[in-house]
Amino acid sequence: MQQNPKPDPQGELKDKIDYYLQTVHALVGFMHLFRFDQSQMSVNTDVTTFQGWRLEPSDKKKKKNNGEEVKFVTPDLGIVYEGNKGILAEAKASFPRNTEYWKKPFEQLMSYDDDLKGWPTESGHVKNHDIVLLVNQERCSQIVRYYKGISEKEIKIERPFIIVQFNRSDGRRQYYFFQKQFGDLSNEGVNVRLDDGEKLPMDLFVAYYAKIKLYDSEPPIPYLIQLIWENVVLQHVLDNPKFPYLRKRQRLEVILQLNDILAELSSGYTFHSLHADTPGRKPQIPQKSWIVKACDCLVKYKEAEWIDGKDTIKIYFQRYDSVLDHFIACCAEEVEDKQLNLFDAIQN
Amino acid sequence: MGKIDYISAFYNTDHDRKSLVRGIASLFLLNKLTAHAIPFGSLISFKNLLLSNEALKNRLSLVKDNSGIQLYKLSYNDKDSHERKSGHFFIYEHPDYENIFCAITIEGNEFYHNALLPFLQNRRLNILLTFISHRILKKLLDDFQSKYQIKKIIITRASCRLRLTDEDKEEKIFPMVGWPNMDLQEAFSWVYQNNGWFRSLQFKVDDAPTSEKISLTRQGIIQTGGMFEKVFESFVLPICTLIQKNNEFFGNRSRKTNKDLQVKPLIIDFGADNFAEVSENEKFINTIKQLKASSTSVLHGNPYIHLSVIDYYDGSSFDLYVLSASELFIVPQMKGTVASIKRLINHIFDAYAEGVIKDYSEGFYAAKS
Repeated sequence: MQQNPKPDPQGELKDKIDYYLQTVHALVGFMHLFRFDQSQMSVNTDVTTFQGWRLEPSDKKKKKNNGEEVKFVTPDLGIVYEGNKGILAEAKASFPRNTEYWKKPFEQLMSYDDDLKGWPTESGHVKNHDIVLLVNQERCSQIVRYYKGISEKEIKIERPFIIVQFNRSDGRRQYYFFQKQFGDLSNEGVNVRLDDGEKLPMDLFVAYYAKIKLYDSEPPIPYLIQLIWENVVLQHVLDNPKFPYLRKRQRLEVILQLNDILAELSSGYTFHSLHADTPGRKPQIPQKSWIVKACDCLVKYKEAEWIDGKDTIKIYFQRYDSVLDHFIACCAEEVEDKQLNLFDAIQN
Repeated sequence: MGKIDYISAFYNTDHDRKSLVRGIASLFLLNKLTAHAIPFGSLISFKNLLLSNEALKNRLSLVKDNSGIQLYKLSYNDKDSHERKSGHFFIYEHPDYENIFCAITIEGNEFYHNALLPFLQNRRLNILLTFISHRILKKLLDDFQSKYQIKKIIITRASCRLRLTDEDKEEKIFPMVGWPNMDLQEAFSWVYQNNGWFRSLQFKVDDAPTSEKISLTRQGIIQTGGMFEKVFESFVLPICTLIQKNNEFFGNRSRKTNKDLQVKPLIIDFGADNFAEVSENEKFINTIKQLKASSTSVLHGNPYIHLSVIDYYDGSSFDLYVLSASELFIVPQMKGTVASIKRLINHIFDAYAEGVIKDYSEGFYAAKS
């Protein structure tokens, strides 16, 4: 009889963080295919990229089949090149094993198949745009097969639709490899490069990786807490004159407004810096609900307390040998407790 | 008259930069003395740094203040006798570089070890010693030898680290102290062959009239019992220049002070494929985890490395990436002070391996692809 593998909540959390970062890296890499002019070895100034922007649907797509109103769509990545040509891309490093859940991402892609408004162009529209699905190589063939199977019946995308696979590969230099598996991009140059696949070395993107740590998808909780702890809480605790003398197990209080956490993460660790400054279309990344959830966890782990509802939080800063390991352990313990409680409930 | 009178008279004299260095050299002819020189950088003027600190007023007093030279008296508790003692040291303000100094004392080993060095090291937030790589150490010694046409430099004591393979065939770093009495070239070649690097060196000059020894540490601290003017010219001043260059190179890398919160990464090129084997990753990660007063979060450890490091001394933080077999990328985040960058790099050089430090350029890596 085949035994179930021993649960490893810490390992699972680490895998989730890895998948999240792979998606960020894939978005950065795909963006680079358009943004960097290899012949000039410089950034193409006529290429605009944006991430998590709100684009408004046309009148005919403002209502879903079930009557629900659609105010906006937020693709993972948008690119405008040659003035009025566009790309909207959605990245998925992991697809669930159960194919029953696969229809939803394709429905999301269908919502991009529209004359959307809010592109970073003068008119707010582009002449035409492609829709791209970026997926991890390990599931790509299955996904292409799945799409081919349902494309004529339930999912219909009129605009050019392309599935690009990516994977991380080893070597003397670490690479992300991109290859087209379905459809053709309207941009001939990039289309040809992706026919046989293109290796993009990770060292090329160090500057991006270090400042783009979040995209338009909720990150795993311990990772988000680590970002808040190291990049927001730490910056504020530095103002305390006791900071240089803080010993292990001693605590320093830091009071933060939730909006400040949002603003600091958004300006420092998202695609924000690459966006043209268009009021009202700035991405809501990270979303407030993610930050509230992460702060709720800090309160649960007795590392913080809410003040005045959930707009202000008092965090007890401590020196940890590994901030990420500490919060992974906290989250994993919570998962294990839940599993034990469930087991007890079944036994009783 | 005892030697103390010469020294008192020396302390009572108003010195400028030249007369201080010459004066110490002259004292060596009259007395058996040891001089210690500690070149360092500071974020503000040393005088302001110390005199603005109320807590120091009982321990430190400014005795003399002349053009570029100050004399201080520093009190300390003697660890053995538990007596309150004191000693003097000079601060030499570099004539060309703002906020680059050298602390000089002729009080001997006890004052240096128990009072002056701990005093400066405890001010680490504001006082930055340097770090001399193995390559620069060799160059300083070669230049010293050729400038003064010294026939032979004999290494009399060496502290080094060797990367050796242990019984389990695992490569480990072993500290070693030896008294090799080797010629300079021979000693460097021996360390190179044994995959190691020097941490400090003591040497003597065979054609010098005295057999006084000179020593030089990786922190740029010099101890000598003779040849003071030559030692000052060949070691102290070049080390001051090195500190200045490092301050310029490592400065302004905090994202908070950069336009649009831009990152300014640094690269350490190890010159060899250190990371060709994945097993090396663990060694490197463990080395970083040993950095004092720090947090190391491993976001990825195999096959590539991505670490997030906090320096609890001053709250600087960094992303570290190993994305190719021979290079480490260091990306200072919102706060990345010169002191912290140097501390991190010193630790890597000292506990893992040395490399050449470079500025990151996206274009360069694009051209390689």
